[in-house]
Amino acid sequence: MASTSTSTLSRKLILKSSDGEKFEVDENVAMQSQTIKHMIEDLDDINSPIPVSIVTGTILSKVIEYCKKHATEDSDSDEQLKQWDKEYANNMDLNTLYYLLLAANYMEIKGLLELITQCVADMIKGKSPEEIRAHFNIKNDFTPQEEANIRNENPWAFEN
Amino acid sequence: MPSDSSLSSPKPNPNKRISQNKDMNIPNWLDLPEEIWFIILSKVNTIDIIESVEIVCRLFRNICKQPSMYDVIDMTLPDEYIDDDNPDYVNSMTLFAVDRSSGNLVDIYLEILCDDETLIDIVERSRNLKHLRLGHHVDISDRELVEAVKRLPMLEEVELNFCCFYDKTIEIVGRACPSLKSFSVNNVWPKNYKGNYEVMAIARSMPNLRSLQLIGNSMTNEGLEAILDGCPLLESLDIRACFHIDLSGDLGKRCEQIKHFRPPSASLEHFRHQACKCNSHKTHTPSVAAGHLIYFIDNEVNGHGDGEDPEYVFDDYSVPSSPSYSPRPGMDYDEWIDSLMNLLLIFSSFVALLVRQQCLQFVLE
Repeated sequence: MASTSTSTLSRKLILKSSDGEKFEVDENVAMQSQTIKHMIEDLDDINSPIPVSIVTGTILSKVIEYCKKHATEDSDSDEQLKQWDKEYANNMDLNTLYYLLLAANYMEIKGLLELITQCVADMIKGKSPEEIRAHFNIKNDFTPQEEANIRNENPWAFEN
Repeated sequence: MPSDSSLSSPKPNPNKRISQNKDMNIPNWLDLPEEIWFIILSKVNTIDIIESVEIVCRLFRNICKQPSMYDVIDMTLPDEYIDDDNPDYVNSMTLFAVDRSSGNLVDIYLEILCDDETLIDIVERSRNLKHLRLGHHVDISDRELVEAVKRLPMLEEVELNFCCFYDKTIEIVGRACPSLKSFSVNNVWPKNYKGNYEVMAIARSMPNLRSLQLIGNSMTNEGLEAILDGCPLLESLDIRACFHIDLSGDLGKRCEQIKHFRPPSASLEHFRHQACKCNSHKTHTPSVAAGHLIYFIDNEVNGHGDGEDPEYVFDDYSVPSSPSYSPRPGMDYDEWIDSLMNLLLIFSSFVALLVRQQCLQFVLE
């Protein structure tokens, strides 16, 4: 399932996922990741696969999809790109978002990290503490007394 | 789910945090590095942070107590807060967030329930404030806005969305903030109203602007020309929904030389205040009315609004009357407010006199 591009202007790199899957990508696509950019600088043989150690093939393919879209300059207007980003993020389920966050953070892809953190932040907006816990499967690790204290320390808590 | 299958496959160099959940295939969101949670939570509205997020768990609580979480405070209000109309509740929450920032606040957005006193309290505690954004008929007077701005020499950006401030106020704000780089006045005017008061005030007082947003402004070509002359450093100019502008001549060519130029006909799709509170059908608050108005303009841009009378949407909306009440040129601001107050006093005592006379007559009869 290695992805290829017919562009002859750019050098090809091979990225290798944590589960051994290999992806051939244009250099300018891979360079969206600061981590890979630094790795290439130290690399003697550009033809050897570059390990992306904590990212699985499934997630890496999605990361590459994002990088490809953002590597081709001038093809889309800002508005179109925003729309594409929105749809890209909306198509991911919660677990995928989690691993995309880890991947974007590890690979240092600023735009992708920005996009996915915004997407997760939007899920939190307008929810009660209980709803947030349920959504992300987070355990309440406060004692009842601690929780009551936090609620009470807010100066407006008594007013409403 | 695609990510699940990949998890069970062997990892040459597995991340320690993920591996704990490898068998369950369901990630534990609390294992996400704290710095990522920090980025996520700093994108959530301040009200949600204080009311909900920090009560979720210890990790969130620790992040929410960090002063840097409050470098940017976004007091966008959910509809139910506006319906409740409890300004004390909202304003004490705003000040709580400002206190948590420990003076590091650089960017704040305030809307409808924020009043004069709260604004001045915020300014007193936040001398590093660089971006002041007001929206949706914030309850702040011209005088206190000027007072606040005078105490903020670092101010680089002022944003006024659907707020009614006099053009004289805008001019004083401009003169008080020599480092002002970005200014926005986004408003809605009756379609047939033309006026250059606001833009002339900007052109006179803000020569260092790099970015100017005037969505829905009532200006004509004359006003736009004054802007281009008065603000020569503009790199970004947004005049979407300014329907009295004709860009067919030389003026159009001048505008195109600006790096980021958005013409009157451009879509308002990504203007964040457009959809704000638009979904509510309750039109008793001005902000909701404003939301409908801007929505209407958007329809018109896209060519669906033709043939409808634009006036009907203004029923609930008190159109800012600044042009007719503007102070005389050269008049000191305080002097102007005082003269207005005096007029009001004279008028009210006159009315009182009349009433008393009527009463007397009635008694005598």
